[in-house]
Amino acid sequence: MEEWMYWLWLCGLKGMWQGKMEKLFQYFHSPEEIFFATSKILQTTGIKYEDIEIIIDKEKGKKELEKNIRILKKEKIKFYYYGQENYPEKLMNINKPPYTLFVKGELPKKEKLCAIVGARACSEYGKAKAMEVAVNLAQAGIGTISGMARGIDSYGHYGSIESAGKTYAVLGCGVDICYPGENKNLYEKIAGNGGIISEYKPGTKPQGWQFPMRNRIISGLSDCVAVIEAKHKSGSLITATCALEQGKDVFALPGRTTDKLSTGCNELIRDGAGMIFDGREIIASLKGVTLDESAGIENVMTENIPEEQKRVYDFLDTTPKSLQNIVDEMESDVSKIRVILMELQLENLVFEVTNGYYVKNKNKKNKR
Amino acid sequence: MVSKTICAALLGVDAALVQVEVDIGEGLPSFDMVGLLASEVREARERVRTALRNSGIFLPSGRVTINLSPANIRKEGTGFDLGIAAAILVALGLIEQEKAKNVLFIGELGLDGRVNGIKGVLPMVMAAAKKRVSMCVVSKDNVKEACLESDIKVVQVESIYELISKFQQEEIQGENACNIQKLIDENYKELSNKFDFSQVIGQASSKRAVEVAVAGMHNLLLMGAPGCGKSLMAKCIPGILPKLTSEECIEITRIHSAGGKNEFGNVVCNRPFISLHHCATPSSIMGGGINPTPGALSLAHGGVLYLDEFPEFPRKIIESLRQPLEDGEITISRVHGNFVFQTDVMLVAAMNPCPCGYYPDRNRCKCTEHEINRYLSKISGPMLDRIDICSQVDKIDSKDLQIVREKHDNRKTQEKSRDIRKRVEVAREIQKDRFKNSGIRFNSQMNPEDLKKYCSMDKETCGILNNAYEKLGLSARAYHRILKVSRTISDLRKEENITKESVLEAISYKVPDVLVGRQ
Repeated sequence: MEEWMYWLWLCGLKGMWQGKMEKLFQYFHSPEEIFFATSKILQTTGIKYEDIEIIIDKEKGKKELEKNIRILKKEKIKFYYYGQENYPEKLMNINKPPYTLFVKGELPKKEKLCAIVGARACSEYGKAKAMEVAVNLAQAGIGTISGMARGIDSYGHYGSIESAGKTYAVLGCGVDICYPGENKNLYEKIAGNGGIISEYKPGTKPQGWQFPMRNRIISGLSDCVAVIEAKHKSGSLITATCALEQGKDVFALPGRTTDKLSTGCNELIRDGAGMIFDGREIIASLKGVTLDESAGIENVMTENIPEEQKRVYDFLDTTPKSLQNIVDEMESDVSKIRVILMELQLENLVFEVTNGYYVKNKNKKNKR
Repeated sequence: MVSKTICAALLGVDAALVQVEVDIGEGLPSFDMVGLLASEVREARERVRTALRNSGIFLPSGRVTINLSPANIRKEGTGFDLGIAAAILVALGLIEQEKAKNVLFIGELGLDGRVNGIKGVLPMVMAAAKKRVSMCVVSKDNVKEACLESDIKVVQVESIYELISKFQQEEIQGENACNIQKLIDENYKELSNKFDFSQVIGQASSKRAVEVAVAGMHNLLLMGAPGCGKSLMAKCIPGILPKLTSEECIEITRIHSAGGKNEFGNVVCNRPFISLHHCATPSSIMGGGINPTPGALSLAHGGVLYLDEFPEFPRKIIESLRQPLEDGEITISRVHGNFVFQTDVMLVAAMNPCPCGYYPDRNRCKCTEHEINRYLSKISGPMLDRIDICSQVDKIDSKDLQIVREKHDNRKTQEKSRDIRKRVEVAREIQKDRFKNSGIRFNSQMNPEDLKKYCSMDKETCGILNNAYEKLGLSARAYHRILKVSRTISDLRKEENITKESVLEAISYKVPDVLVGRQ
């Protein structure tokens, strides 16, 4: 057997998670040694008796290995292990590096990556900003990495894909499982525009505890972390903490202090995180240039629209405003405002987020 | 000798005439009834016999045989009592056969000989008028609705005694024909809804949407957070519904009469407003039974069907509303025939934007996008496609809710239902004029032919509409629906041609894409 096969054998064993492997590797230098170890030697490592039995059962182990090799071939999944030549260098130096990596698509190469993380139940503001930041980064040749969860994660991926930038997703389950299911479309696009990465063997079902664990890989593979929306004590802040431990820059999108969804971000900024306006700060930081030199952002041309429409347009922003709200502010007739909003919508300048609530559509090119 | 009178059996919202034949012959005393009778008709035996005795008429001790023909129609209901009693009276020689031959008798008998009202009198009377029956005899309870049919003489009796005395007169005095228009006008003035739009604070945008919807009878969907006034607004709708025409009044009363929902013979003078709870069964909504009775959907014909908490309705019910809403009628098939009920209703539905109800206020709403999508997908795209007008009902500001008025309070007083109704009536009159003799009544009922005829607009407006069709990915049906709504908006503005503003406003009422299928 080749070395990678020993690795695949080891991680294919039942219940062989990160912690157990760490214990084993205090005594052994390679999975090959573990493969040939007798139960007596294994006992000295202090792992449980049941686990020793699983390691000793070579027949079952080999069967599992063959099955896994078949799956890797069939699903076109690439396999990397710790210490391998092309194992990502960035991950070598983090705390608790993953021993194995399964990749659908490809691993990030030399390009700069920014992690975009945030709340699953995000607001329209967060949604728009996640897209905007990802789009701007992609235009400057910076890819994104995230967790393909609902909400901010998804929109970060979408932003990169739309502007043909690289994007990577680190999952908390096997790479052959699309979780959450409704992101099937996105899942395939990411595999084509970058890669889907996981430390867990194919077929591993999503479990709650695996998700915070994968955050260390997200921050590990990235060059900086952008937190778009996070509540106080949000899971996204774990990624930010990992990034700080790994010595990476953290950026956060400020929000109103009254918005619960922005509390976590505002706290990060108070504690010294960089502030995100539209992503140029990140470009400037990663490329080592000044803000002005960072890629220019297209602004929506608003000169040509009539005065009345402009007033309504200027009143709107990325927080949804209700029709009633707009009518009150403009002190105008409902029908008139409806007409103006419809005209703006047909121009793609305004977007109706849900019935009767409107936001500015900043990326005119992106039809949402 | 066999004596004959006429009764009627209710079939859906129609009726079939039934001949009652009575023969009193010699033999052992008995009282037999034949002719495919339901048990309540069989029970007529006891009622008729006792009622006659208590009116001082004793049956001879012989064989009394009663036949209701044609025998292939199943007879249900208690309306046959009076006809049977009358036929017996003819057989006994108390009433002349000549006088009673071409007369329809409808009524249930009490044991003391009094005549009670039954349901479904108007359809029976209408069927009789069609068959050129000269006169109908009904109880006092049913006389009002029977008078809606002008082609037949209506006679009212309160008891068997009165029946005999009336038929012994030379010339039987009929009731005066009903002046439907006057009746409607009187009721229209009186109509004082408990709920008035002046009670709804703010919500100008929704009020406008409701006004447009009512003016053209377009389907309406109200969305909003819990407690913001969706239901209140829906309850205010009866107060601004346009006046009925006499034709509609007869149509609606007929359905309500057949459904037994008009409290014995009241004429329905106002457009019905039927509010449904989501635990209603499919047959109570669509209509059902062996001999189908109209369901809530048909009872709302000509008026409003209101579904609160729309997504809570079982999917099956929501989907089965689709076809009747589109066609304006529902066909219920039974072994012994098809029954068609009219269902030209204006659907008003109310719902929350997400399971917790507060989206997009992210400080309160914790629903994930997935949950929101799942909630919204309870209402299928095809159903949403049938909604012409979708409106958001907003949270109300605390300063607007404040009950105590302060000195420099510049709050506007809210418009009264009465004023909104005036504008609706104007649009209604225009539509009445437009659809004279065309079989339809409201803009929402126009077919593609009519749209070509009545929705003229200039090139620019047409361009805007086509542009929207492409950009918003509308369906052909949605395109037509937008045309209909813009016709109504232009009618409200008293415009001959549809203007750009009307079209744009109509498009903005469309159910937004986000609700139909997100991502």
